[in-house]
Amino acid sequence: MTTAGGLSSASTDAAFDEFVADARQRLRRALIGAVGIDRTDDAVAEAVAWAFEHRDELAEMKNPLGYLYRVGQSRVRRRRSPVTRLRLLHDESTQIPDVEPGLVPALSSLSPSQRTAVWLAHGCQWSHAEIATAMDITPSTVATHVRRGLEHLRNELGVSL
Amino acid sequence: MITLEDQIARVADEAESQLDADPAVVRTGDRRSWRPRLLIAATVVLVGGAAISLPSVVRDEPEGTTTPLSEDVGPGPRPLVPNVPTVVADPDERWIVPAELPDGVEFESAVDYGIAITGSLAPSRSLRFADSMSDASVTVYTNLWPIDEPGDDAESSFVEVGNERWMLVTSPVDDRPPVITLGLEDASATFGDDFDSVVVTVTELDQRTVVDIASSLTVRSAADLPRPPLELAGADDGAEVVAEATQSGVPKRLVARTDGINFAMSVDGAGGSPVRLGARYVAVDGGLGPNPNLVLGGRTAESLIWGLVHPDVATVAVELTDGTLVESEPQDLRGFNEDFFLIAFPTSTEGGLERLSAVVAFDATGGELGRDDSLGR
Repeated sequence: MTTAGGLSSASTDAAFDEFVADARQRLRRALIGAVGIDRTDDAVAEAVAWAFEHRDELAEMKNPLGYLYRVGQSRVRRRRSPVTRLRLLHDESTQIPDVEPGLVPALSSLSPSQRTAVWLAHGCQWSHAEIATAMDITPSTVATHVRRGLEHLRNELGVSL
Repeated sequence: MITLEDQIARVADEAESQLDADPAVVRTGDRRSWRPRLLIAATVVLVGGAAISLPSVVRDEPEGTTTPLSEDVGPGPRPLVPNVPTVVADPDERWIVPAELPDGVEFESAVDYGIAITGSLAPSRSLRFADSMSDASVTVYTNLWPIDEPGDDAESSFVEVGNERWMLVTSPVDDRPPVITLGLEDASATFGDDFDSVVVTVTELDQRTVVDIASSLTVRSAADLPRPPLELAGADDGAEVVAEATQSGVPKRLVARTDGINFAMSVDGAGGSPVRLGARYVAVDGGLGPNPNLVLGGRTAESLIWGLVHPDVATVAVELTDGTLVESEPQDLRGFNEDFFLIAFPTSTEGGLERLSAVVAFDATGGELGRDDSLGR
C-alpha cells in the first residue's frame, strides 16, 4: 500500500529520508500556528523522531503528515515549558507589507482550534481533509472552525475583506 | 488591501522566514559579555581502571542499531538510534500488567524501585503507558500505594472490580479531564502472595476505561514486557558509571541503565523516574541538595543536578536565578548514544535547588539549543 505521502511498506531508506525531509519542512510552517514559533522546532523534532521509530506504522497510514503533526504538537504540549504566551513571530513588531498591523495578535488570541484550523487552511494551504486528520475532527468541523475563526478576525480587525 | 486569507498566508510566510533565520538556535547575543558567569570546572575524576564491565547480555538486539542515519537531517536534533539495553529481564519475575488498553496507548517504561520504598519484601514497581497523540496515559503501580488522602476537591468512592472492592479517587485538574485512580489495597487474593497492592492511574481517560483496565490486569513474566524493566540502582549494584563530578569536595558518580529507549539514573542511589531524551536537546532527571552537615555558618555548599543531553550539545550549564551560568561539558563514560551531565552548583540553603532556574544546552558556537526548567524556580 502506498500512502498519500508516497510511503509504502517497501520504501527504501532513501525514499523514507526524502519523505521525512519533505514532512519536516511542511510541519515547520504548520506547527507554528499550533504551538507557537518558540516551540516549533521542538515539536518538529519530536515528530521526526517518532517517524524514525515508527516507520512501519507510518507506511500504513493514509495521511502520515497529519499524524506526525498531531504527534509533534501533542508531545510539546505535554511538557512543562517556560513559554507562557503563544507567539507566532519571534519579533511581533514586524511590519508585514499589506497586512493589517493587528492581525498577528488577533491570530494569537483565537481559540486553539480556530487558530489551528485557520492557520493550516490559509497559512499553509492544507485541505480540510488533511486538517481533519491533523486535528482528529471531521472535515465539516474543520470548516466550522475556519469560518468562525475568520469571522472573529474580521470583527477584531474591523474589516470586511 | 489584500484579502484576509492572503494576509494570513503572508503572516505564515514571515513566521517561516523568522524560523529559518533562527532555526533551533536562539541567538542570545553576546551572552558571555553581559551575563556574569561563574565558571566552575566540574572536576572529572577518572577512577583509574574502573570502567565497570558488565556482561553484554541483552534481551534482544533492536533492528537497525548499526544503520547510519541520513546525513541531511535539517534543523533540530538528529534522531538517535536506540541504545542496546543494559538491563535484562528475569523470566521468573512476575509483573501485573493490563491485558487491555485503549487504542493508541502504548508501552513506555517499566521500573522496579526495589523494596526500599514500602519497606516490605515485595518490590515496588510501575508500568507506564501513554498515547503519543494525546495526553492520555495509564500507570500501573504494584506494591506502591501512591493514593494520598483525597483533597477537599477530590471525590472518592468504592467500586467492584471482579470480586474485589477497589478505591476510586477522582482528582480534578484545572480545566482538563480529572486524574482517576483505582486502587486495591490487598492484591494477594487476586494476584498472588508476591503482590501487596495494585493501583491504576489514568489521565485524559474516563472512569469506565480505568475500570476496564483494572479488570484486565493479569500476572505475566517480565520477559513478556515490550522492553526489560529498569531498576534504579547504584554503582555497587552493577549500574554503568556515565558521569562524575564533585559536590562540596566529595566525588559523586552518575550511573545509568537503559532499556534501549529510557534511562534510569541515580547518584548514590538517589534517582527518579525513567527519562527519555526523545528529540529534546536536554532533559533533567533529578537533583540533590547539599549535605546539611556541610552547611556551616554561611559557608556555601553545592547541590547536584543531572540528566541527559543530545550528543550535538557542546556545553551544558546550570542557569541560576540571578543569571549566573555554571558550565560543564557533557560526559559519557559508557558509550551510549546520549550524553550525560552531572553538575555541582553553589547553594546557600539546605534545601538545595532554590537558586536553580533552568538547565541550558549550548552548541559549539555558544548558541542556545534548548533548555529544561522542570526543576527550576
